[in-house]
Amino acid sequence: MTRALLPLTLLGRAALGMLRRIGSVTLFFLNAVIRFPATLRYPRELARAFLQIGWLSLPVVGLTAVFTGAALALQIYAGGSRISAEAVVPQIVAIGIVRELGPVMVGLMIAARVTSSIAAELATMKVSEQVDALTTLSTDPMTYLTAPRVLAGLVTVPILVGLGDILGLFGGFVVATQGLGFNGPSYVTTSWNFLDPVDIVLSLTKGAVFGGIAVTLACHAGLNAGRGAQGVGLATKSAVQAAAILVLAANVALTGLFFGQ
Amino acid sequence: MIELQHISKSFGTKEVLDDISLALDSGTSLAILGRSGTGKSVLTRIILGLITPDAGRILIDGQPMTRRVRRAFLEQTGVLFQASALFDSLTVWENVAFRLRNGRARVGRTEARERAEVALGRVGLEPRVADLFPSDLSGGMQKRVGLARAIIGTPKYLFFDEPNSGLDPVTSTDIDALIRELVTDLGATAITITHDMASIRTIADEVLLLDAARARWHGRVSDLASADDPLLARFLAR
Repeated sequence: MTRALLPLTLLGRAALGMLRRIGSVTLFFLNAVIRFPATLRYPRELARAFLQIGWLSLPVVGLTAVFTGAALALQIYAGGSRISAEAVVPQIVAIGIVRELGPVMVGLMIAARVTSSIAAELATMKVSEQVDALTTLSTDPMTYLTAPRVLAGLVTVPILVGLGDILGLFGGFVVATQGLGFNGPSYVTTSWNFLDPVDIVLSLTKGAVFGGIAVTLACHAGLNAGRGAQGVGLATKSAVQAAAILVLAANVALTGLFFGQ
Repeated sequence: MIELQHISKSFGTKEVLDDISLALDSGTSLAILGRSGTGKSVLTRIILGLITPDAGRILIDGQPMTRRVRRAFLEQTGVLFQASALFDSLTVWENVAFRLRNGRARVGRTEARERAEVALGRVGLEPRVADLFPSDLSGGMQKRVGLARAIIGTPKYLFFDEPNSGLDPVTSTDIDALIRELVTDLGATAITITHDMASIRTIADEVLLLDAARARWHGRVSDLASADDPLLARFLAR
């Protein structure tokens, strides 16, 4: 009987563990949000977070977006030619980049670049007692370390997504006009007219949610890291994995919320 | 005065501290001695509020350690961590002046830097190191910077976690002498975790020996030689 129930027991334990972690991360996020006003006491940390998450992510996000837009234009053209629908390249590239690929690619790039660096930095601070040192210096680590980063994630990632969308569209434009024979002004007009304001709202909303997820998970994993180098490695790995999966899951949820029947 | 009453702490099934009580008068320097894993660090982390005990309570100047008392206590406390725990992204002077720049009563950048350089001078470091980063310094220099950070607000309480670990004997002796001098000058109540008997003789007035999660011996440094405890005798024989 006990052996027969073992799979169910393990499944239940895993589910409870996951729920516990979701609850812990949610409370952690709320704890960071209520400290946003207090984090203005640390303008330097705030500026550093905006620089680290926003500005320094720009090259990788920009290049990813340009190449994704270019590849998408080629794929749509090749696929469309099978049904004599090559002309839909501007529309599909526009909707594909703005609604889906722009925010998702930026979200995954942020999960890879920012989540890993924040988780590793905070985990190293934790294992080298720098976080304890902050506490003994009468400074709340949540206000000093977490709140500026979460705020920067919520603000800068939508901006990165907006820029990624523009650069992705530009990548598609370059390929379509230089390699596939599309007329430039006509391509831009068709793309622009096809986009709906709700597409842009969805894209930027996804950016804010993905930024919040990536940075919150990074800070949570870093500040709860185990001991030693292994603790730093585990914290970084688990944060990046969780951020990538949650970004993709949140993408489905948000798309369903905006466009579900 | 720091008073511990019946402090106990376990991690899972491992009992680390069992019913520890202690009263430390103001201006006294206590060394906590014991083998590795006997709860020395846990005890000091409990006093600093970094770990919550399972049982018992802490009184600071007769007041139970509430959130308000703890905040006031930490504002008057300097800590030297085992690995110095300097902030990598800040320069030496910014590390030393951290409390002044980020504490409740904020001090301007110029004044903070001046006071940081004075604190660096007190621990034997020249002003030229002020603009370096912690990674540019040797282990001994990092300890001195950590000491400067601990003493900058003229603290009433000082904690030193294995101040000599990783240091050569000469630097170690210098750090001990410095700690004794600073504790005496500030009139602070100090708690030091150490395994080193030579260090204890220099910096401490009292010794607490922890073993098997219990307080095994507590007395004055001058009484160490006459103490009838086999474990203490083994430490003294080193």
